[in-house]
Amino acid sequence: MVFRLHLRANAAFAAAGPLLVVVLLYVFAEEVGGGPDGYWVAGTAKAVSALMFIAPVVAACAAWEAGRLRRAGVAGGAPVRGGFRIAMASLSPVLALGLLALLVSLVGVRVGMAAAPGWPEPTILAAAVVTLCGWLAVGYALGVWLPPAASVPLALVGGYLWQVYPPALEPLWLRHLTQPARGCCTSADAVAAGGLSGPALAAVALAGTAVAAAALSRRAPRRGAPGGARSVLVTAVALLVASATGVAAVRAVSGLGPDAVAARSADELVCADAGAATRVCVWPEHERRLDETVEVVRTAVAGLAPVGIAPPALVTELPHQAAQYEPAAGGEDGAVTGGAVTDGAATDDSASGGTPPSTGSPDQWTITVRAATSFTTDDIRAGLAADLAGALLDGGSRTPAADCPADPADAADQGFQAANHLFAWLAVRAGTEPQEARDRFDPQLWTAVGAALDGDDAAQAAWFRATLDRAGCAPR
Amino acid sequence: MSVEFESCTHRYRRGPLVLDRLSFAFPAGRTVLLGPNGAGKSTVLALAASALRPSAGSVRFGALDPAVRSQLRSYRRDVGWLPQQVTAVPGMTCREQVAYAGWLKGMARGEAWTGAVPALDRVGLAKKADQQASSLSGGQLRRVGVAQTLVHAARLVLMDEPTAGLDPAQRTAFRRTVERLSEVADVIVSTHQTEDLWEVYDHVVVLAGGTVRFLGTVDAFRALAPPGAAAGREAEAAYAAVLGDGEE
Repeated sequence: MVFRLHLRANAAFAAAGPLLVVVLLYVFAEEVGGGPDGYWVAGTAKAVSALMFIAPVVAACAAWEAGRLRRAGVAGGAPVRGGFRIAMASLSPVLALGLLALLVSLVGVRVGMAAAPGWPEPTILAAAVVTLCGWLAVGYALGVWLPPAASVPLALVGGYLWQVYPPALEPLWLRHLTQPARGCCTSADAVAAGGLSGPALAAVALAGTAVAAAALSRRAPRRGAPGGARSVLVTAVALLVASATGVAAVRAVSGLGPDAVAARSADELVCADAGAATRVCVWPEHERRLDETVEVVRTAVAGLAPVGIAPPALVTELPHQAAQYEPAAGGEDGAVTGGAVTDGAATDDSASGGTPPSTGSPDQWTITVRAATSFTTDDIRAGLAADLAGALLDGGSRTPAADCPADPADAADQGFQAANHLFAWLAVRAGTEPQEARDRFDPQLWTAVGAALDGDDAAQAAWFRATLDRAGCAPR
Repeated sequence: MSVEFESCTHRYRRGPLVLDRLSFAFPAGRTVLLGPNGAGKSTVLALAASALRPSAGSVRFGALDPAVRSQLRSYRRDVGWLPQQVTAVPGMTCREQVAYAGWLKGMARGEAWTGAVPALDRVGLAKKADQQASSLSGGQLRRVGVAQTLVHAARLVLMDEPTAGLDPAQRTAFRRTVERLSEVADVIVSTHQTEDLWEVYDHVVVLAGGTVRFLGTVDAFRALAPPGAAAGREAEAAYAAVLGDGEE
């Protein structure tokens, strides 16, 4: 509408400032679940989580606008325009405010991301817009039925409670009816389809109920007379749609857990070779650090091969459970297809120069990369060492040392101490400067590790195998 | 061309019959609709405005029948409607309120915005165009209501008790408004006030018990006053004569 009245006198005009401030405060303050780390799916999900503030305000503004139409007696004024046009003329600025708030939230999230290749996830945004429209309809219906003194606070408080209370309730899937992509996502996750269709369908169900209620009300502006055949037809269709979408919404989310996530497709990984037999793969939002990661891996492989830890076929950000790597002949064009890590002998020891036999080292290493520059190369290396230590300790073929203490507590203590030694030693062998490692680890722990590092490769390989066995004393 | 009622019956939900097979046509020009409380005046005007749909029978304005969906838009555009309660739309200025009414009646936005000022000028409120409608007096607000019916160039304007609650000065101003309005449209006004019938209106319709008791010119109505009616009270006397004893 070009009428100034639809902007200047609209409730959205008054609500815009406070709402946008709240959204900005939320976007920049809310750190639950960590930052999106350049991953747009996570970033979009975080941005639309501001719906917990936006939706109630939109509903309250819609209720106020419906109240204005009601007080102005538009319904009894025999309008030529249809009810939908009249409602939308008043509600379009409100909807625009909701969309603007979503945009501000999205921009705020983008500002907080170091790098963000690609675009916001359109499916999440679409579900958020549908949810917003649902609340617009609910607010309008409340405003048609109740005086503003009741409808506005009811829309505001009720809308907020609807957004924030279900996550505290069982069953867990209940929360996914209220907001798209709730709990989404870490880098390894994609948004679950039910986490998008569920809340969108629930919003359509709410909107259908609201339309039915408005069609029944004698106070709703309309072209035809209330109670006419058309009103009855609209009510019946709206209730039918509300029932069908309500049932479909519950079915869509009933299989979800606390977070609306699914495994992220390995096809998205961006890969490069780090030597003849090793391929390094990171998520596209970390592609800018791929060369740096490859260098870290190359250094680690070169440092670990002489002590019997074979170069892996794959170093990837994809978690173990989901990864499967099938190296092509020559190891040049391997493809990540999703699957499980292998735990066997080294595949290719060309980089090690035929040094000690490998120790059941994993064929896949997991690596952690972050887009933020505050996450340094040392952090990547430390993450690699930690993940590798974990994989080695979890290796199924390992047998505990024969001299494990009989007392379980002592055995556990010895096992954990050995695991810490192993972690520190792996970090240094993987390329961490000894001084940096000394600063990172407990001085007492460092005494044993420093002594081991002073030995030659063969001695270190023997120390490594013995420490690994000692770590096996810890209960599993 | 005017509004015709044909075997028109109306009953509100769970209520008694308000109109029972009413058939008559309002004459063209300025017509006053008189009748006691509960006579069905507001119902007749709301039906004529198509704000209500008759339980049975039909209402027409010329060739337009509001019950025919394709004719409803044209019907409502041609018929302006000033209900008993004129309310200021919260937050709107007079010009905005009039423009909004024009838009509701199907005018294009720009056309309604441009037409609002001449409409306000016609009711003597051009100077208050940018003032909040909620700050106006009751009489001024009714004139805004009249401007709302003028902005979309209605050919027939229906006003339900527009002078109720107005002081004598405001009633005089309103009379001038009706006179000016009648230059561009037929006007039907329901009222309880009979003192200024002769100056303002051409025709009189008296409604009681859901039936038309009188329909004719103001002169014919005046002639119904019994001989010896007090000077200046002829209309009251004629009205009482039409209704008969005990009706009012």
